[in-house]
Amino acid sequence: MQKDNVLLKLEHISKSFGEVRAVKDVTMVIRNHEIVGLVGGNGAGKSTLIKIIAGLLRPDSGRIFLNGEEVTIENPRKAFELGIYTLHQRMEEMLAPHHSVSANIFLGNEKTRPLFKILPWPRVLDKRKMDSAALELLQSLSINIDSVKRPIISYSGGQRQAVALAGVIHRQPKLLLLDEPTAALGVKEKFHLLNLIKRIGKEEKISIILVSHNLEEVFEVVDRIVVLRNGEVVGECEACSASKEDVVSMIVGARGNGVSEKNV
Amino acid sequence: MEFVKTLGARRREILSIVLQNVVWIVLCIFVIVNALITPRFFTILNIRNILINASVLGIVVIAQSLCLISGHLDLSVESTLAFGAVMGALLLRNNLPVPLAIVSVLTSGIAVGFLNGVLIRKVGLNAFVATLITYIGVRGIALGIVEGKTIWNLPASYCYLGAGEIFNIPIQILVLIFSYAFFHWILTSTKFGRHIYLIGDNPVAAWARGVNLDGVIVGVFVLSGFLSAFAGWMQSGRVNSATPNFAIGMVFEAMASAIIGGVSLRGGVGSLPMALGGVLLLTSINNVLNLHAVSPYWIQTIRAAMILVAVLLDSFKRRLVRYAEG
Amino acid sequence: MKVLRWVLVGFLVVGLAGFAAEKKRLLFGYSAPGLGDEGQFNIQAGFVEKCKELGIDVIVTDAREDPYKQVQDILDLIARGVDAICAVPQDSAVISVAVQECNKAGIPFFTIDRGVTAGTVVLTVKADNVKAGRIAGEVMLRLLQGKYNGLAKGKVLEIRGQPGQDVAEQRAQGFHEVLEQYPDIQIISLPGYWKTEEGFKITLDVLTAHPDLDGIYYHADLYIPGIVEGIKAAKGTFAKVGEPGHIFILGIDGNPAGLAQVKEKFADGVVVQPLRDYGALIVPIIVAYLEKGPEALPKPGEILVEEGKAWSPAYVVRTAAGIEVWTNVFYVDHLTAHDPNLWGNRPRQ
Repeated sequence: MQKDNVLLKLEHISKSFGEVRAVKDVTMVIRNHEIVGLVGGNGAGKSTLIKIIAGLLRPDSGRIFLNGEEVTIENPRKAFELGIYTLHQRMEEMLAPHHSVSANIFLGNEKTRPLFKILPWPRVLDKRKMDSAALELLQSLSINIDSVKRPIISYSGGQRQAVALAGVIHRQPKLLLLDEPTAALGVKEKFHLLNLIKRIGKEEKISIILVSHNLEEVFEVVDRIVVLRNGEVVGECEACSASKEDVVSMIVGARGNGVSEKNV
Repeated sequence: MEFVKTLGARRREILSIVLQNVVWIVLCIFVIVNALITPRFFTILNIRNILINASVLGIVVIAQSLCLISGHLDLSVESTLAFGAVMGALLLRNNLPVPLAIVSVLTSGIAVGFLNGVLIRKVGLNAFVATLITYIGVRGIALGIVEGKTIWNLPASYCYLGAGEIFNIPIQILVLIFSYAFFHWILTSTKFGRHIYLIGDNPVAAWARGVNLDGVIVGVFVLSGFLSAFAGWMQSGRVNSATPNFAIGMVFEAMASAIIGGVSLRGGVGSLPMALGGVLLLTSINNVLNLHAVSPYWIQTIRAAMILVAVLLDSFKRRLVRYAEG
Repeated sequence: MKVLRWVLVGFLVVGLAGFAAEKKRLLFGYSAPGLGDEGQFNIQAGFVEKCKELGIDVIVTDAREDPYKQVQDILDLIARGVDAICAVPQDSAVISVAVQECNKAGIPFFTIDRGVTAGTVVLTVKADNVKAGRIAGEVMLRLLQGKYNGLAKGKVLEIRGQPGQDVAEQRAQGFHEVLEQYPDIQIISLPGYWKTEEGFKITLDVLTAHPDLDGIYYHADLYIPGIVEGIKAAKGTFAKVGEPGHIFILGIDGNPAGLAQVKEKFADGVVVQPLRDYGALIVPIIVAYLEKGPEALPKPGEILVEEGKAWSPAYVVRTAAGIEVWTNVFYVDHLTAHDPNLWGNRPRQ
C-alpha cells in the first residue's frame, strides 16, 4: 500500500482519565477504501480511540491527519463536517424516533423544490422525491423496509440500524466509524447488517473502522485488523492471512507467530 | 396494557388513529351532549361567541405549540401579549399614527422572542428558566410604561382586527383559521418546519446531522413573541382598550389546550389542527360552565381534571406505539 | 269509559291553564370580577341570597381577575338570554364593550361598586366612598387631637387604590376634605394599586423616611397585612392600640381580616361598607325596573331608608355616569367589631 493512499493518520495519540491511561501513544493509519477492524479486550482503549476520532473526546497529546492535512476534531459536528460519520450501538443517537424512514435518511439534508414553478422562492419539501430516493437507496443496499413513510420506531432494532447506516451513507462520508453496531441485534439481524457493511465497503468505497468484540464478525467483514491491548497497538494483520488464534493471543498477551507487531 | 398485545395489527392501527384524534371525538361528543342539555348552547350567537373567545387564545396556542414541538416551552406568551397591547395603545394615546402603532406592537413581540432565543441559545439557560425571566420582566415593563393604568378609546382602524366583521363573520375568526392553516403548512411543508419537529424529536441527532439549532430555535421563539403580541393587538381591538393586566393566567390555558390537542411536552410530536381542537374544546367548556349555574369554585377542579385526562391519554398513546413493535 | 276520557281532558285543561298562569321565572346573570377576595365573595353571596328569596334564578360567572374574561363572561350571559345582568367591573374601561353589546341586545345592565367608561348602565349601587373617606378623616383628626393634647397636628400616610379609579379618588377626596382645613396636619399620599405588596413597600419606605409618622389611612383592607409587616420591618416591633409608639391605623372595607385586626387591637378601626347588602338593595330595583320600566327606579335626590339595614340610609344621586345609589357606611372600632351582623363576621358559606 502506498503512503499517498492514506486517508486518516493518528500519530502518538494519548488519552488519560485521571490515573487511568486509556490510550497510550497510538499511531495508526487508515487507507482509502479499506475496512479496518479494531479489536481488543475490555478496557483496551477501542472505544476511547473511536470517540477521539468521532470528536466526542479530545486527545491529551498527539496529532491527527486527514488526507495529509492536520485537523483538530473538537466535537461531533466538526467530525461530521470533515466527513467522519459515526454509528453507535444505540442508534437512537442518530435517528429521530417519530419521523419517517425517509425523513431520517435525509435528516438535515432535506430536498426542496420551489412552491411555484416560476419563482425560485419559497421552497417547500419535496417529499415525493425524498421518498423515492430513500426507497432506491434502501433497495440498492438490500435493506428490507416496506414503507419509507412510517415512523422509524415502528421498525425492529436491526432495521433501524440499517436505516441509520443508509442515512449516513447517502451523505457520502469519507470515513465511517462503527462502534459495536451489531451488539444490540439478534442473530438474523446481525447477519444482515454485516452483509450491508461489507457491501458498503465494497460498492460505496468508503473507509470503515469497525470496532467489535466479536472476532467472527470482524474476520467476515474487514480487510485488516488492528489489535489494542492496554491502550497500545500490539499488532496488526491482514484478515485473510492471520488466524483467529493468533489474534486472540495478541489480544490476551501471548506472543504469536507469523504476525508482524507494531507494524505501521 | 397487556391486552394491547393481543390485538391484531389492524386493530392496533385503528386504536392508534382513534387516540391521535381523540380531541375531535371528545369535542363532537361534547357538542352533541350540550346541544341537548344546555340551554341556548347550540344557537348561532353562542357558537359565534365560542369562536370569538377561541381566537385570541388560539393564536397564543400556535405560539406555544411551535415552542413545544421544538422541545421547549414559552412561559412569557401572556406577558408579551399584554406588553404588545399596552405598547400599541400607549403610542395611540400619544397621537402617533395607527400603522406605526401596529408596527411597534409586532416589533415588541419580535424583540421579546429574540431575547428568549438568545437567553436559551447563547446564554445557555433552559427554556423554562429563560422564559420565566421574561414572563416576569416583560409583565413588569408593561405595568411600568403605563403605570398600571388602562388606556381606552382606541381608533376604529386599529380595532378593526379585533372588532371588525366581513359579511357578519368576525375578522378574528377568519384570522384564527388562516393562521392555523398557514402555520400548519409551514410546519409540514417547509424545511424550517421539518427542522422544528426534528429538533424536538432528537436534538442531538439534529445537531450532529447539520441542522442549524441556533437559527431554528431563535426563529421559533421570535415567532412565538410575534404571535403573542399580535394576539395582544387583536384582544385590545376587541375591547377597545389595553391594560397591563391582560392575559394573566393565559399561559396555563394555552399549555392545557396544546396538551389536550396532543402536542407532547417532550417535543417532536403534535399537529396544529389538533391543537386548535384543544382550544375549541377548552373554550366550549368555559362557555358551557358559564351557561349553567355551576358553582364557580368547581370550575377550576373540572379543568384540572380535564388536563389530567389529556396527559394520561398522551402517555397511553405513547406506550401503545411502543407496544406495537413488540 | 266516557268518565275516564272526561277526567283526562279535565286534567289537561287544568294543567294547561296552570302553565299559562304561572309566571315565567326570571333569570339574572351576575358577573363577578373574581371570587377569591372576601369582599367580592360577599357581594356575590348577598346578591344570590336575595334572588333565591325572591324566586329568581341566577347564573354566576367568575372572571378570575381577568378583565378580558369578564367581557367573554358577559357575552356568554347575553347568549344565554338572561333577563338582566349585574356586574362588578374588574376594569371599567375594558368592560365597556360588553356593556354596549348588552345595550344592543336590549338586556338592562346594572353595576355594583364601580362604574363603566362607555355604554349605558341603568343604575349603580356602591358605598358612599366620599362619606367613608370623610368618616376616616374625622376619626383620624380625633385620634391626632387626642395624641397632641387638643392640637390638630401630625403626619399621616395615605395608601390609595388604583390611580384614576373612581372608588380610590372618592375615598381620597372625603379624607382630604376633612383634614385639609388643618394646616398642621401633613398627608403623604401614595398609590398602592390595590396590591398588598405595594402597601408593604410604601409603609416601609415612608416610615424609614419619616420615623415620626403618626397614622396610616388605607383605602382597602387588603393592604393591612402589608402595613403591619411594613411597620414591623421599619421599627423592629409593632405597638398595638394603647401601647406607646402606636401608629394609628384605619381604613375602609370591613372584611374578616380587617375586623380581626381591629379586634386584636392592631388597627384602631375600620369604616365598613355593607357589601353583603348591596345585593339586597339592588335586586328588588332590578325586578321593579323589569316590570315597570324607568319610572320604577329611585329618583335622584331620594333617600332610601329601611330600619335596621346596614345599607340604610342610602342616597340616590345622579352623576356623569348615571343614577347611583350610595349606601351608608359606618365606623367600627374594637368595641363594636364583634357585632355578629357585620358581614366580615359572618362565616363564609
